Amino acid sequence: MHNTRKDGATLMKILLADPDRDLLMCYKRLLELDNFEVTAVFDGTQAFNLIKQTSFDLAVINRDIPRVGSRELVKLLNAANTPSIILLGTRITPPILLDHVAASSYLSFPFFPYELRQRISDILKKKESDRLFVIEDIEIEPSKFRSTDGTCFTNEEIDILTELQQGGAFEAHKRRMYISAINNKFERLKKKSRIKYVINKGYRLVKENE
Amino acid sequence: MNKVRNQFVRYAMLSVFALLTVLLTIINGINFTMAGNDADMITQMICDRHGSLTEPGYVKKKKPATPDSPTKKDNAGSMHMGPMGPEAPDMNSSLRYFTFTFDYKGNPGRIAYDVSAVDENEAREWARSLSNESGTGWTRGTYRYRVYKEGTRTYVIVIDQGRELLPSYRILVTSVFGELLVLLISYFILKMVGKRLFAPLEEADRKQKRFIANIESEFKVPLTVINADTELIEKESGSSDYTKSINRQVKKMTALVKDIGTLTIFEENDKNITMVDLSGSLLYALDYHKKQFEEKGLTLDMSVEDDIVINGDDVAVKKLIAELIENSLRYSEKYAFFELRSEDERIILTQRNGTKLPSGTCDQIFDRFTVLDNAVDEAIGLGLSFVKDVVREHNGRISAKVSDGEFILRIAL
Repeated sequence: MHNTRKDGATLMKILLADPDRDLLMCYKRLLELDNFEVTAVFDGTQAFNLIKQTSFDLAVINRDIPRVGSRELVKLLNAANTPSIILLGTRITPPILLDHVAASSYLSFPFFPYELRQRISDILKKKESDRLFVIEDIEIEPSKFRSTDGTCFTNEEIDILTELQQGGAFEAHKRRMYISAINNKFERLKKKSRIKYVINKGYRLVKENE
Repeated sequence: MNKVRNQFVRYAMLSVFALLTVLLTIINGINFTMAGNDADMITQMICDRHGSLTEPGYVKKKKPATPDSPTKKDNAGSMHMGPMGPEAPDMNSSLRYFTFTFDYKGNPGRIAYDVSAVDENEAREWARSLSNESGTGWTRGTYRYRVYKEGTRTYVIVIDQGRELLPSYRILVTSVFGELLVLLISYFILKMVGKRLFAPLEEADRKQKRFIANIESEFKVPLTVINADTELIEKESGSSDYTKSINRQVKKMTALVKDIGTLTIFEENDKNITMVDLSGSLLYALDYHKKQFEEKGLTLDMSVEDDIVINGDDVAVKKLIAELIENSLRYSEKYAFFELRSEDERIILTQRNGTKLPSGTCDQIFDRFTVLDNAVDEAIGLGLSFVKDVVREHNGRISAKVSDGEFILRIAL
């Protein structure tokens, strides 16, 4: 059961799992001020038990959470269709996007509160949408952050694919690793199209031999 | 660090090679000059005896006219010293030589012929070709000649110094092989010494990298927490000059930590060399930042040649372009201009912009943690040092200067 806000709206429940207690304390308070109901835990076992017992709208997990690892936690969250944001100490790179835990989004330290806030609102917005779109014969369900055949896509990858599908102008600044990750996923799914930069046109979806 | 070590070995080897070569050239030079002098003493003596050692009636007082031999007197004086001086009784038996004369018409006449290795006719032709020369010199490797005129006749004396020169040639060959051997040994010694010599430097380098990596990872979470804490304080107790100051400083530190991350990209990445579309990447990046230039009131101009592709590290090259644009956005006055063209098989990327800096070269901007007088607050001086590293790794050159109120940064790849 969701708790309700003073104005009657439902409070979104967020699980915050990070080994740093100071970070837990300040972000719990900050997110509560943003009208979220936040459960903060500092180790993987607590997080694991909580995910099993309760349903959350979103989980924010440090990749290096001790005892039960983030990989296990995200697997559990994905099974319950709960989106997750992984916080990591290293830069986001295509291998992380491909081989890590298939979270809905990744955020590198150090970040500002507005960045996390933005990420959370993006994901929650997507989670509420019942939209479904098809690109390159891949049917993507943004609310579940995956395609119907089970391939996971991050929040940012879905944004890129949406822009491509709508054929709009495409800006890739600071998003190149997501493009590489999508191209790799296309390759794994044996699709012939790739996202490439076309001079004077920007990034486009083109057949590989073009 | 490996590069520096190899460079040390290279330069040390070069020095050893140069030193040995100079030393051995001097030794062999002296050796051959002395052999030449010895031979000249003998030819002078033959000359004093009118071309033949066996000619009767030799009178020392009777000086032949040898205007080309100003040192004759000295040589004659030192003849007594030589092993083959006139006083040596068996000298003519061990000496292999021939003397021919030529009159003004060029008709030959034989005075002496005692060289078994050369046929007489051949010797005559040989002497004829030498008759145009004058003075002394070496011919056909080991033969020493002397040509002098007496009246209308030209005397050509040729002596075979093959046996006498043998020790000198042995020394020469030994020197060459010796030098090669010394070079080989020094190479291995230098390699070993280099390893030991550079061990502390390598350790320092490793420590520095580890320190940078630690700064990067250990500062990240605290910064994130301070960011959040400050915002929380401002939300709950209102913002003050102090919280604003904390915000500013934290922003600066966050930028530093992110920049340090950039710096290590190139060092930790396994270089992934692919074809990089330089024209496309530059155009794309400039297009993307166009608005930011406009917002700052800067005129952005560009001249980009199509289809310039290089072999390089895609991530690093794109980051290089981003850093150049970032730099230009920060420091340009009035205008910024980017040019990419190919010239004599090189690719030239030039960034020009208006500046208030005084004229002169300013290559120091490529040093880590160096900023110029016009630096903005958050600048820490890592961006351009990264640019320089990338350019170097791609075997390119980079330079920067200010001339007449224009900052010019030039990269040749």
